[in-house]
Formats: sequence, C-alpha cells, structure tokens
Amino acid sequence: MDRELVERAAKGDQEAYAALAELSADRLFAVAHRILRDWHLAEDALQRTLATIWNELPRLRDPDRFEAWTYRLIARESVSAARREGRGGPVVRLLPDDMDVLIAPDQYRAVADRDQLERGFRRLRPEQRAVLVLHFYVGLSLAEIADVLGTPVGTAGSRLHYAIRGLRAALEADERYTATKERLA
Amino acid sequence: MNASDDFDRLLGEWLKDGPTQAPHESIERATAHARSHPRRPDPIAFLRKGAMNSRITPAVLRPAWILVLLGLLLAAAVAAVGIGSPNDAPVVVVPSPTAEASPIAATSATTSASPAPTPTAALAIVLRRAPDNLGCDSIVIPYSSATIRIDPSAAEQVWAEIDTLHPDTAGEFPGVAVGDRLQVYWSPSFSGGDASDPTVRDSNGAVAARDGTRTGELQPPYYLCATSGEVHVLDSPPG
Repeated sequence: MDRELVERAAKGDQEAYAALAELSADRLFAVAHRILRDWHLAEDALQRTLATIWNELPRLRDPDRFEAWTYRLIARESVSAARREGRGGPVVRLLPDDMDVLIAPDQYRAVADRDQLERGFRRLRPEQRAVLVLHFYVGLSLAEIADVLGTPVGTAGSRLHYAIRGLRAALEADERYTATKERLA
Repeated sequence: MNASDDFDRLLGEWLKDGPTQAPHESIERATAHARSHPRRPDPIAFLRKGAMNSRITPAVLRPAWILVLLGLLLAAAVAAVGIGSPNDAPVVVVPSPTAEASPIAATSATTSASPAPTPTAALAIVLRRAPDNLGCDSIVIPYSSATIRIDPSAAEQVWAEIDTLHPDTAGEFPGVAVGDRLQVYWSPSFSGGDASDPTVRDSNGAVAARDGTRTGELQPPYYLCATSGEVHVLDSPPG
C-alpha cells in the first residue's frame, strides 16, 4: 500500500482516502464474505470498515501497517456481524437431477466436499472462521494473525488449532450422518 | 503429502472460491461518508494511543516519565516565579466573584494588596463546529450515553465523557472505557457562553447544554450524531 496515500488520507485528504478505499475494498470484501458467507452481511461489514478507516486513520501511527490494520478492522466487523446474525441457517445447494451425467465423479466429489466444508465452516465460532480465513485465504502467518487480531501468538495458534479441529469434527460428523442415511435408505 | 496437507489444500481451495470484487456502491458510500465528515486537526493527536501500536509507547509518554516531566516543569515554573518577583510581592489570590471565600482564600486575601478582577470571567467558550451538510450514518459506537462537560478554563472547553458503555458493542472497541473523552461538534447556530455563563445556547438563546448535561437529554429540536470518538449536536435532523 502506498505510504504517502495513507499519510495524506490520515491528514484529511479525501481524494487520497477515496483512492485507498478503492484499493482496499476488494480484498476486504473478499475476507468479509469468506467469514460471513453472506453477500449482504459482507457488504455491510465492508461499509462499516471503510467508515472506520476514515474516522480512525489519524490514530494509526505507522502508515506501513495500514494493510494489517484494515485486516483487523474487517475481521472485527465480520465477527461482530456474525455474532449479531447468529451462526446462520443451513446452506442448501441444489444439484441438478442429471448431475452424474453432467459432471465427472471427481467433480461430484469436489462439490460434495465443498458443501460439507460450507456446513462445517458455518458451525464454527466467528473468531475461528476469521482465523481460518486469515491463514488459509489471506495467507498470514501465525505471528501476523496475532498482530492483526491483537492477541499473543500462542492465542492465535491455539485458535487456529481449535478451528481446524472443529472443522474436521464437523466434516466427520457430516460424513457419519450421510453414511447412516445411505444405510437406512 | 499427508491427510493434513490434503485437508489444508482443500480448505484453501474452497476459500478461494467466492467473490473477489466489492460492490462499487460501498466505495461511493465511503467517499460520501468522508465528504460529510471532514477531518479536523487534532492538536493532541500525538498523545493518543496508536490504533495498532498499543504495546509500543514512546518512552517519553510513559506514566513515570510524565510524572517526572511534570515535576520538572512545576519546579521550573516555581523558580521562574521566584526570579520574576524581585520585590517579594505578596501572592495575589483572586476570589471567584460568585463563590463564597473559602478559608484558604480568606487567609490568603489578607496578603493581597489589590485583588484584580477575575481573568476567567472573560473566557469565551469556543465551540467545535459541525459541517452544515452533515450526514449521519448508522455505524457501531461503543457507548450508549455520554455527559457533556464544560470548563471555560480548560484547553478543550467543551467535551463529552462516556458514562455508559453499550453492552452489545463495547466489546468491539477494547480500548474504550467509561470516562473516555469525546470531541463535541455543534451546528453553527449554537453559541458558547463564557466563564460567567458556562453553557451552550441555541439560536433562540435557550440553554442547549451545560456542564453535566447527558446526551440523552438532548432531544429535538436538537439532534445527535455520534461516532466512536465524536458527538455532533445538530440543530436540524441529519441528512
């Protein structure tokens, strides 16, 4: 991110802020959407975050940390939005009846995996979802996640560990449920 | 490649699958928000805690150092007064024109040659001004109530202090606490009083706020627009 742009926006330059918003919006929206799994909630979280960036930018001492700071803001907004909304209802993705004709078995398996992941992911706590997104989507290291979330590295590590474990457990439960259903059918 | 790697790869790929472009209206609304909330110079910005650097405090701003510095400044001030008073003139105590003389003031007054008129009486209260076209967005703020404070002799003469945190949102603002200061901005039609009348009045001359007025008391014809660090008191509904 352009340091000069951040400094100008912090001093109240509205053009610089508009440029920063333009440069940051896509990546922030992508993160919010992946945590929230909902377009409108993600849009709302982005809106709040962009407003907070303008309001709070003068408090950011080091312009080089702008990007990490904005990840902190969007993660915070997304977690709050997820808490407000509860954990969301189940996601149903309808597959066409002739699915097995249209796509190869491997692809079918991939779609099934994605649906399982979607269900499992939604069962996680919002903070855990945020850690998973920051690590596996944004690609931040544990130290960077700790910095972004304002937690000790150990806390970020354990949060990631439990998030992965929780997701695996959710997937395994989903597998067992599907297998039982198939046996009973 | 083991099962853990497979899982990580699957999760990474799944997360990549999703929108990567923000709705353009969000950017338009953000720039509109900036236009309606123009930034004002913050004279004490350097004293504020950094948004990301809460663990890094310059040595000169640590509490112990501040106390030492204040002590040195006080000593220097006392020395300067001593040097600047070669005639050993008695200390002049200026009683407040409205307050009854306290025992201390009465004792000191005997040493006063000629009580001067109070210098604070002329201190006009200068208000921070809200822009005319202020828009009020629905953003999350960490408090539900604040108290207006007015002190004509203070550097910031009118401010507000958080007195109640919002139970649902305060957790999102870990640094915010009861007692934290908020800047208060007023529509141009409001005017500040002075030391003898420490109030803020509306265009009709009615008292809109005095020291201790709570934000909840500011009902129409006054309107409030709040952010995490500011309260705007308006004379008409915000856009």
